[in-house]
Amino acid sequence: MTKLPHLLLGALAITFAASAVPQARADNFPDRPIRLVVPFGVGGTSDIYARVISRIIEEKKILPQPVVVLNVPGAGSAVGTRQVKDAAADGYTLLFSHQAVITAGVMGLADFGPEELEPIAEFGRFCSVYAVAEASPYKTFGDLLAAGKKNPGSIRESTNIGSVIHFASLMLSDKTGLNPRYVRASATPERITHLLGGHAEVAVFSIAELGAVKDNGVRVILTMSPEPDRFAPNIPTARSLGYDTVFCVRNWIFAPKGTPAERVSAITGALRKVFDTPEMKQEFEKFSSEATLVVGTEFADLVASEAKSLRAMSNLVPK
Amino acid sequence: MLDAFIYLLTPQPFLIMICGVLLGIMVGVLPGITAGMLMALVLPFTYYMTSVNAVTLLISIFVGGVSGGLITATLMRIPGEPNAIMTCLDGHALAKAGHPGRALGLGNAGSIVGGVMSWFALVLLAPPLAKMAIAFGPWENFAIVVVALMLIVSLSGGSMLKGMMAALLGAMLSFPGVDENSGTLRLNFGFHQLDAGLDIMPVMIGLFAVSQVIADTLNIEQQDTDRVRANMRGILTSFRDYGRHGWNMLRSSLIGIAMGVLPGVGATIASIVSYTTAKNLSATPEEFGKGSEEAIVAAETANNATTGGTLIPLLTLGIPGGLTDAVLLGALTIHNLQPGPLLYIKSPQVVNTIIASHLFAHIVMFIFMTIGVMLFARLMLLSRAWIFPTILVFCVIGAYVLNNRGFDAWVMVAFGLVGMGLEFVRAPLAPFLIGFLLGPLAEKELRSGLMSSGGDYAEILTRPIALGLLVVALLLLLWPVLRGKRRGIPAALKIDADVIRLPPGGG
Repeated sequence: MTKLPHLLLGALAITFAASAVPQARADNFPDRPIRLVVPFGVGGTSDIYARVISRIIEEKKILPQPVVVLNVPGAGSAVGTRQVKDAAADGYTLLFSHQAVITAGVMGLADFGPEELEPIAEFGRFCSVYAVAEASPYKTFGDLLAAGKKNPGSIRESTNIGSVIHFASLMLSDKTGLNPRYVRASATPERITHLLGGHAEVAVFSIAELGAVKDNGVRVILTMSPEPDRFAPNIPTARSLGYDTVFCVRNWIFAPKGTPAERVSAITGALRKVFDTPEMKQEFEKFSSEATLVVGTEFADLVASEAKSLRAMSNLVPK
Repeated sequence: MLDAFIYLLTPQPFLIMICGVLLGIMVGVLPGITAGMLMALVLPFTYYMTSVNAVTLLISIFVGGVSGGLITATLMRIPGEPNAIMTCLDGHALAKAGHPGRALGLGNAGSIVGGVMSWFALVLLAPPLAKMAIAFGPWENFAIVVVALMLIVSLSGGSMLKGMMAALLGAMLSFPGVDENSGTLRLNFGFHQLDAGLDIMPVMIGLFAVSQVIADTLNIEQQDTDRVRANMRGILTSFRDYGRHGWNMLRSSLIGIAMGVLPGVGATIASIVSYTTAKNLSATPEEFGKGSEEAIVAAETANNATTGGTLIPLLTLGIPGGLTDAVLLGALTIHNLQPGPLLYIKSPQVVNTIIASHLFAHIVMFIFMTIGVMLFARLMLLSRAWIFPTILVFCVIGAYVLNNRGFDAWVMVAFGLVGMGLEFVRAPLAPFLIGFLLGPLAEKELRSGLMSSGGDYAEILTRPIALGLLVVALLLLLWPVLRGKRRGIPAALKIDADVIRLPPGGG
């Protein structure tokens, strides 16, 4: 008879212990540093954003553990993204990328897309612009288009083949009929060199790079923002000229698929706190970016619609 | 400018500079970890510094790193940095012949001269040199790569056939990965780790450092008797030496500055070009590879001269030349500074500090290298059983930290074995390196040029700079014949044919 209460006590104890452990883990998340994988090189825009976020989290003690930025560049972000995709879905590995998660798939650099990842949030976006050299004879987009139509193939665009800015240009060309000849450039500085040296007529940049670009003898002739961008006043948007194209590079954060919901919400909670700090607002200004924070199903829908419009360009990309 | 110099003499920046140069030299000595990596690693720490101190630290590490590779290259034939590979060849040979101090002294002298010359270029010639950088588009870049490729002819030691084979092998191994001109994957054989291709760092460290360590380990008994005696006589080069090597230093500096200004070329290619130019113009080319003093001077002067060169497009146009520059650019951006023409106007103190710290770091580096070499030489006296594992550990760490994945470490090990194999068949390693580095560059630029001209090869005829460089390349190819040596290209090929001829009566 005395065995039963002992048995019951034991059973109760075990139940509490068993139920306590996962709960304790959730309460203690994170109990070790979180790795924020940036699938691009050191010093790039995504890298800087990630480092800013990591620094603010550390300074304001938003999370009990630091967020460490790891650069895993390669294959247009596919290498780093794959590493996150295959990582344990415990919330300790995150990806800081942008629409490259989609374009890498379209180019065949990755055999997966954002569907194989868990969407966490969009954290800021900066729109793309079309620019020519200061010394260029094309003063407006209209001039460029006219020249392009008169002499097909005379307009060369310097771009990073297969990257999001290439897709931005394709989407624009789809609506405008410009169809420039693409010349490969590896990164922004090379695109600037091509423009300044007369090796290409036009190139896509992001508004975040505008500071570097403007002072270097490059003139913006068109923006691809939804409304006139306050960072590029007096520059017409593609929409205002009658071409319904909008392209903005969006900072997207993902986690491995199957990351538990409470960890996802812990992360989005931390991101929201970072977003609300005055330092982050300053950084957004500095990078000429729209401060946007999109989470949850709204974010998942956004990713899906961007994926659809980018994938629609796949037949335009030479392969 | 004077303000910047004075600022650097105040305690805090001075200390930062000293630490930076020391760290840079240490990182330069250790194979596997490069100055660029260290700069990326300290980047987060620079947030908490003022922008002038941050750039001082980064530039000091940069300068120390470029120079530090000399030490292990000379004393152990292990390049601490890729740009020290050419120094390995002759530096170690001279050291083994009993003059390690002289080898190190010459390398050090070359380093300081190259650095100071490039500083002058930075201060006096930045705007025109920057214009040169812009004028180089795809066709011009292609032409200059062809010039460098022609150097294989003069670097192949005895057998040009083996040299070309090594170069082709190197080029082939650079193909897997992303084809930048179409934005698609190729030759990864379904193995996703190859998606990013084989990174230059693990390949070079494996080929030169790991293979050397393995080879030495297999010969460990012989090693103890052959060991480079720590005889540091001759470490301070006399003025006469500076005079004797003056033309070499001047020419190599110019090569280094030019290669530094052109984005994407870098110190490694600069030291290769400088080495081979020196060899072609030398009165004693057969000495090269056996301990030629000219070779050491040429290689070290050029690689330090690129430091000033790369800063030119960075400061004037905001265009980074390579990885180290990209980190510098990132640091400036984080501190709210936008490199470009406006930086001179908006933040002159930062620009002046960068320029001043470049010169000061070189001076500090020279002093440290001269003193520090004695210390390092002592370390060489330690048992190989301690040194080799340490080196290997650092190689692995460096390879891993490069892209934060283990694949690169495996690549390094694999190339260690490849390096041993190549040495066994007496295939020259330098052409392999050239093929690996320059092959993809040539392909990339040629295809970009063709994209730009719409498939028209004749476009190159309309571009004077590119055409001029191609003519130079042609001259280089014909150089052995023009030089009047009996061993021209046809002769070299013929000898090899004899060697592989089947024996008479054989099956």
